[in-house]
Formats: sequence, structure tokens, C-alpha cells
Amino acid sequence: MRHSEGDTPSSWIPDDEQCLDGTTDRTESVYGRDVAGELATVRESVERVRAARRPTEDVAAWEIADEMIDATTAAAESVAAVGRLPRLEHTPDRAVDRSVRAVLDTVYEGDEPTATRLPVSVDDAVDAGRLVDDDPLTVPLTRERPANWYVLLPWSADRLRAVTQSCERLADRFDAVGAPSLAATYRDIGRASEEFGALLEWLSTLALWYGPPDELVDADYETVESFARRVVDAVSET
Amino acid sequence: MQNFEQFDTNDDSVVTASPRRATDDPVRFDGSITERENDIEGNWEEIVGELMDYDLGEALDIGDTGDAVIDRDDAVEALVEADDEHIDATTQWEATAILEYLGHENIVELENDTVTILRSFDDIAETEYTAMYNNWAAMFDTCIDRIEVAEERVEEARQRFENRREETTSSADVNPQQRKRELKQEIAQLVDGRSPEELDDGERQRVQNLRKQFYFYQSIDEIRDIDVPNVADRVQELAQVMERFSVMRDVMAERRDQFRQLAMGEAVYPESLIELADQYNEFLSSMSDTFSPADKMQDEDLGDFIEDIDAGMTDENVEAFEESAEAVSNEVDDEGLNVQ
Repeated sequence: MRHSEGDTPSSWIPDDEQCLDGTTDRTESVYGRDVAGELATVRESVERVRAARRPTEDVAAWEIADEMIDATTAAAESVAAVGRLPRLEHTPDRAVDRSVRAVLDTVYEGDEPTATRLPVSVDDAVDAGRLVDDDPLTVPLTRERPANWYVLLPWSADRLRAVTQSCERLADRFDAVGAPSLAATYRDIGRASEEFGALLEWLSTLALWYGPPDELVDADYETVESFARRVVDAVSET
Repeated sequence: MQNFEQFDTNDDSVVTASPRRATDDPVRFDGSITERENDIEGNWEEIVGELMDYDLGEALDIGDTGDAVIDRDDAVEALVEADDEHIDATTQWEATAILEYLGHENIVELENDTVTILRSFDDIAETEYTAMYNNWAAMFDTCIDRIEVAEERVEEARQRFENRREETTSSADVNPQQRKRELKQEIAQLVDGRSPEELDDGERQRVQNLRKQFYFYQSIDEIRDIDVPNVADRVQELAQVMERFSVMRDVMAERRDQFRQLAMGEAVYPESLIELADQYNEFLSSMSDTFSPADKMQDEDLGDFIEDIDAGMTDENVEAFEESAEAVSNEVDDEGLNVQ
């Protein structure tokens, strides 16, 4: 529980300036597993509700709904902490991207991502600094390795879309058993996941637009201007 | 090659290059490549342009004094790879024959391992390589061609960005601020002035979850603030590149035409020298951001610019040109257009 119980009604209205834990601090995220781990919590929560025969009785549906929104918020805070999305300097190596995704997938499934457990080789990714083999493997999100962001964001958006679909189905179940408040809450969480995912896709697409292949346009015209410069210089010298 | 024999057949000029060794094959090719089109443009300009453009210009070594040299092997390869109707060399042997013929005709200067395509502007008038004025014209044409190709790509990119800007503006319909207002409103309606004890369990849990949702939207509102390069800036940046290209193209076309005139031994009396100087100044200004360092160019005033042209004049025209340049320079000064 991140807020105190027993508040007066007026203080129940949230404050724009505060975080859920009542502070105004932001902790900077440095690892992809911060996001992947929180999304794994959401996935596990969804699974628990889906597995219940009577969702209003067999599981603490309200508690799980709170856990889901807490985990989703934590993932959003991790992303928001970046402040400025680093720009890609080069076209990323697809094989390395796959290795990074494999680490995120493993965390998402609730397992420890070790080099021996992954279905793909991580040697190149480790050599490139895209993965750090601290046993388990970690996905650093640094300015020096911007490409990991461009794996993490669309990867997260895919998982959030899946959460949305699951939440909508669960909401239908709650409606069917006469629990409209729970149904509304799970629909809200589905909507929150959808909007979060859409925002991450928007962010990565927008930022990618500035990376390759359009970086090649810059390289192209800079090469031409450089050539023109050599010619003009040569003429000036003669 | 041992020698080159030119003859006409059905009004077409043909050259036969005879090899030094009897075991090698002779090579035949279009002899008009060393002729002039409309008495101004050298037919060899496109061939020379291929040499200049080989490996995106990287194979060409342009010296400080204006000499431009390419390795002989690269030159041969450039002619083999050339996609040009005037060049029918498909093998290195044929390309070598054409290259040696251009050397024979003093269009390029062949040495052991190198081919000199351009000579210093000052030197050309004093040598038998006057055709190299056309090579300079070809150099500008090569630049113009590359600029045009780059312009197309930049324009395409600019269009894509423009479209993207519209798409992202219309698709960014996630509005955390509005959602936060809705959540506050829903909480207020649910609580309806009651104390927490007065709410039933379901209501209390619903309010609690709505509060959590509020803070979630606060977090994703911060994601919207994540700094990404501005698409509008990018569109503007590419538009500026297009402008620079346009100026470069115009200036280079002017220069190209001047060089062709020089090749014909004509005096250069640009009718609009003031306009040209103005364009040149604009050119330097626009290039200064991209060309770094641009000291040499920026420091060149109108006098130096005129000297560039002066250096290529034939003796009998120098005096007349200097008078003309002085008059133009005075006129420029009078109008406050002195290029610094």
C-alpha cells in the first residue's frame, strides 16, 4: 500500500506533484529488467485471476488489481526516468537485438536470464556491451548503448497489448458474475495498459525516425557537401 | 598501346588502338569521345566524370594546388563499371585502351600508376592540356549530378518527416492530463462527501484503485515529456539543406560554363559578375556551417575571386579582363557589395 488509509475524503483526491509513495523523487532506471520484471508481475497477476474458477471468490481480485496497477506504474516510472531518449548512432545488429529480447523474455517468464539458459548466444551482445554478464545477464539502458531502448520499448508495447486483451476478457467475466466495480477496474487497467503501450510505441517510433535509415540521408548529403567542398577548395587554390 | 589510328566509317569516327604485343587484341572504340559537342562541351566530359565519381569521389585525390589524380587501376575499373553510352568498355583491356587514348589526346595525363585528371588552373594555360578546362567543367557537372541525387533523397526524407509529423500529431491521442481529470472526478463522485468509514468495501477498493490509476497516468504523462528530437526541426533542417544544395548547384553551373568558355580560349566577361559575386558570397555563407573549417573560402574577397578567373586567361585577354574586373569591383564597392 503506497498511501495511508483513513485519509479525509478531500485528501483522497490525488496530488499532481507527488508520486504514489508520497515522494517527489524519481529513481533513474538503468536496467531493462526493471521494466521487464514489472511487466512480469502484471502477467503473473493476470494469470492468477484467469486461473480462478470463481474470480470474485477464489482470488483477491481487488488486491491483484492494485498489484497490477502498481507494477505498471513502476514500469512507467522506469521509462519516464530516462528523461531524454538516446539517439541511435548506427543500425543495430539484429542478432544482438534478438539476444537482448531473449533476456527480456526470460525475465518476463519469471526466470533468471543466465547465458547457459537462453536459447540464443549472447557472446556478441556481451562483447558489444548490450548485455552485461553479471550472472544473471542484465540489459543496461545507458546513453552509450542506446539500441537497448529500441528493443525494450516495442517489446514492452507488445506485452502491454496482451495485458489489455486479458483484462478485457476478465472484465467480461466480472460483469457476468455481477461484479461491475471489478469489471470497471479491470477495464480501466486494460485501458491503462493500452495507452501505456501506445505511448511507448509512439516514443520509439518517433525516436527511431531520427535514427537509421534516415541517418543515412545525413551521411549522404554530408558526403556530397564534403565532395563539393573539396572541389570548391581546389578551385579557390588555383 | 602502340598507336592509335582514327578513321571515319559512315560518318562515324572510329579509333583502332593497336597493341604493343602481337598476341594482344586490338581495341576499337568511338573516336568522337575526344571531339567537342557544339564546339563547347567536350564529349569526354562524361568519361572524365565517371573517373571523378568513382567510389563516390573517394578515389580522386584532389591536391591543395588543384591537381586531381586517380590511381590507374581505379580509373580502369571506373570505365569498366561506367554506365554511360559513350563508354563501351566492358573489359579492363578495352578500358585501358580508352584511357591511353585520352592520354594520347592530352585530355588526361598518364604516368606509371596514376592518371592526372585535373591540373592546377594556373598550369593549364601553360601546357598542352587545355582540354582540362573541360575536365574542370566535368568536375562541376559531377558535383551537380551528385547534388541533384542527394537533393532527391533529402526531399524524400523531408516529405516523410512532414507526413510523419502529421501522423504522430493525429495519433498521439493518449491524453494523461484529461484522464487524470476524469479519475479525480470519478473519485469525487464515488466518495460524494462521505468519510472513508461510510464507504462499503467495494467502494473503498474502487477508490483506492482509481487513485493508483491517477498516479499511473502521472507517470505516463512524464513519458510524454521524454525529450525526442523535434520532427518540425528536422523538416526545417532538411529544407535548409535543400536551399544550400540549390545555391551550390547554381554557383557550380556558372563556374562550369566559365571553364568551358576558357577551354575555347575565350575571354571570360561574365555579364552579371556582380550577381555572380553575390551568389558566391551567399554560397560561402551558406556553406560555412557545413564546411568546417571554411577559413580559406571565407577569407576570399572579390579580388581573389576575380584572380581565380584571371589566372585562366590567355595573355591577349588579360589586359582587357583586368580593366573589366576593376570596373566591376569599383561598381561592387560603390553599391556596398564588397565581399569580405
